[in-house]
Amino acid sequence: MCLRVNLGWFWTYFSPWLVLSMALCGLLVWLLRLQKVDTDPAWFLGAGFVIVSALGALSKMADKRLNWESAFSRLDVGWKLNHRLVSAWRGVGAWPDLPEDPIPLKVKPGYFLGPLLLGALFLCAAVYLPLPPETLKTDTTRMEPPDWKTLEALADELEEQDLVEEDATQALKRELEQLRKKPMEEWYDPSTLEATDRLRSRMRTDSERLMQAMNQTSKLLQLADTGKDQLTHTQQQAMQEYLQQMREQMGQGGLQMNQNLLQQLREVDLTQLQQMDQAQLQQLEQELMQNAEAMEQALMAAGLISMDGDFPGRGGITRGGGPSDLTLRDFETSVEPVVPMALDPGHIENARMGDLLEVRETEHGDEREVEAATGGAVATEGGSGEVVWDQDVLPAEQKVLKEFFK
Amino acid sequence: MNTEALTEIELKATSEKLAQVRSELNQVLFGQEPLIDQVVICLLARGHLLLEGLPGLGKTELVRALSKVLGLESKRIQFTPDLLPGDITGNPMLQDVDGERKFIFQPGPLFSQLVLADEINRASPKTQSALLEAMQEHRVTSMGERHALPEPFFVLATQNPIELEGTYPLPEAQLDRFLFKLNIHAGGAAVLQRIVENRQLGEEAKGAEILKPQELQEVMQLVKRIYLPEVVANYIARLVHASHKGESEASKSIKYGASPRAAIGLAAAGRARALMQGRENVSYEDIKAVAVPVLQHRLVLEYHAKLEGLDGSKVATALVEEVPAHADKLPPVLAES
Repeated sequence: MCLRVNLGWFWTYFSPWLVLSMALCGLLVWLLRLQKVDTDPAWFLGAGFVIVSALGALSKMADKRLNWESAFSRLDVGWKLNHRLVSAWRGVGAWPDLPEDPIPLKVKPGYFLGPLLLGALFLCAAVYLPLPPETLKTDTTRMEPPDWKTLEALADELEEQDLVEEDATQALKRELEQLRKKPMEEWYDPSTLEATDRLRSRMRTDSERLMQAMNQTSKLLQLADTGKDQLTHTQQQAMQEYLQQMREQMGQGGLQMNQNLLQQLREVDLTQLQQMDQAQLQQLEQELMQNAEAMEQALMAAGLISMDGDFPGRGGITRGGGPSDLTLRDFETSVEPVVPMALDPGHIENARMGDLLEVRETEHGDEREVEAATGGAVATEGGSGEVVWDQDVLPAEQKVLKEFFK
Repeated sequence: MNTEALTEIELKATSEKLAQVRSELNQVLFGQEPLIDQVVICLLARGHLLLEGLPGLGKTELVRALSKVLGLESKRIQFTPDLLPGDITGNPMLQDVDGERKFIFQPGPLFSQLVLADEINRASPKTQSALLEAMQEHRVTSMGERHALPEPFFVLATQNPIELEGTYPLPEAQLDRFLFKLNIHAGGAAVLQRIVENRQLGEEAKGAEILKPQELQEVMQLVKRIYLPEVVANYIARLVHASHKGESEASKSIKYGASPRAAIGLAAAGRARALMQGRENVSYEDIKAVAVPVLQHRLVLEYHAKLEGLDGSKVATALVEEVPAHADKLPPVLAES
């Protein structure tokens, strides 16, 4: 009886605060959902408020606590015992036989369940009610430039496979985060896109450099392993120097190779091939090869290099690799140059500024015959410039040219 | 006061004796069982009784039957406007004793164990007040000498609610001396038929002596040993307190509430009822059963309440209904089943 009544008073004082706590918690959860942030703080705050409310209700309940005499008195009235229980408790008379009836108190379900249901309703509404449509539009992960995710995934992949040192990937992530912090409306501004492109380009360059270095080092080790018996000391020294260059290349720059592997490479001395453990050399070679392949796979998955090779000049809607480099290499790119057409010689009088007067098959006009002499003097005069004007052009021709340029 | 709890044997024997007393009285006064119970309770609580009812309802018969059943000496005083205090208390008479003339006190009709003060409101206030000392202190004072009344001493007064011309309503101080005020109502046709069949005009009431005065005194001592739980005492206090202005809804009809003497009377009457029912403790039910007879004549009603047709009995009933037995409330989430 005492327990029930005391719990009843506790519930009486606690239930309004419980409902208030749950309502506040629900409101906070709803607001945090609207802001698209973690709702855990709201739950913790709500739980804390409930605990404080319970403590307050306990202290208030103490004022209303039912004492033993009152409890026995209520039982006496409920069981029609005419205060025999109270008297017996006070030592007057014998304890009466207790009836089979339950304790003469009943719980009002509405008072008990009402606050609980109301509070639960607030929480359910906060958690399950769909957000307004305008809130859905602010799903920023879908709106950010796709390269951000790509670069972030590449950094995660490189970290996960332990291919590179984490400093570079962490720096990349920090730079991406800086870009994300910009207002959403600036995400597609030229400056942001250019910054993204710079990140992408830098990542690609660094990755390719490291990948090539690992490939070449692997091949060097393979060569050293297979030809250790035929290599002369001079050759071994040259290979050791090249290995030294590769080590420096892999240990510097934006992306640095895994330090463990790099340390193992530092211990390799190709001038002492006969003393080296062949299995260790092969394992190192394999690891370098695998790392290079893994890095290539990661770059391809991120779209930084393509499956069928990556050549400049292939434009398209993805902007491609940029304009073709006009190099003097023996193999040209696939860029198809426009065939130059000269002006008909019969209409030379109608020529305007910029018109092509003549097309001639000739060598590039570089001074191939010019040779340097001691003290910086020129041994031969060469065949262009003032010399050509003075020696090869006739006075009539000079006149026409002067007229033309005038 | 002997606070030792009653034994089962004492309780059983006493309650059986009291049941016989009530049964014997019911043979005299038909159809008035609740009234007889209240009268017995009042006597066991050492209280005086004020009976109000129309003539011919058996008030005098009740007193005579009580005196026979309880073995008490009884006297009847018919109160009239010219009755003087000395007529009921007794007067000093000048007498010749051994050659000397002395005032010798001649006891009046008050010197009896059971006094029926018939139509008490017809006597003058002076005479009514002569009863005060006798009822409160069980003694009378004449020419500076105190004379103790026989024990036990009970006053059963009657008053007629009609024919109020030429009467003197009892003052509040006098009314407060009566533990109970009971109203006698006529029984139904069946009760009247029983009376007609069993009684003759002018025939004296019959009744066997169940208790001797000494035994009655012992029973009254047992009443004092009945246990009054703290919660019941608290209920009595709250009930009496609620009769005061502004302390309850019912008190709006009350000008002056009940006195502490009423609270003491409630406890005593509750104890007597518990003993009569064979219990060693008082309960809420005992207090509720005696609350109206104890309180109704002690409440001074407002003028507007009288105009609305309320009387002490109705207001006291409203008080009992209004004041909860338990001092502490239940929380809203719980209810008594």
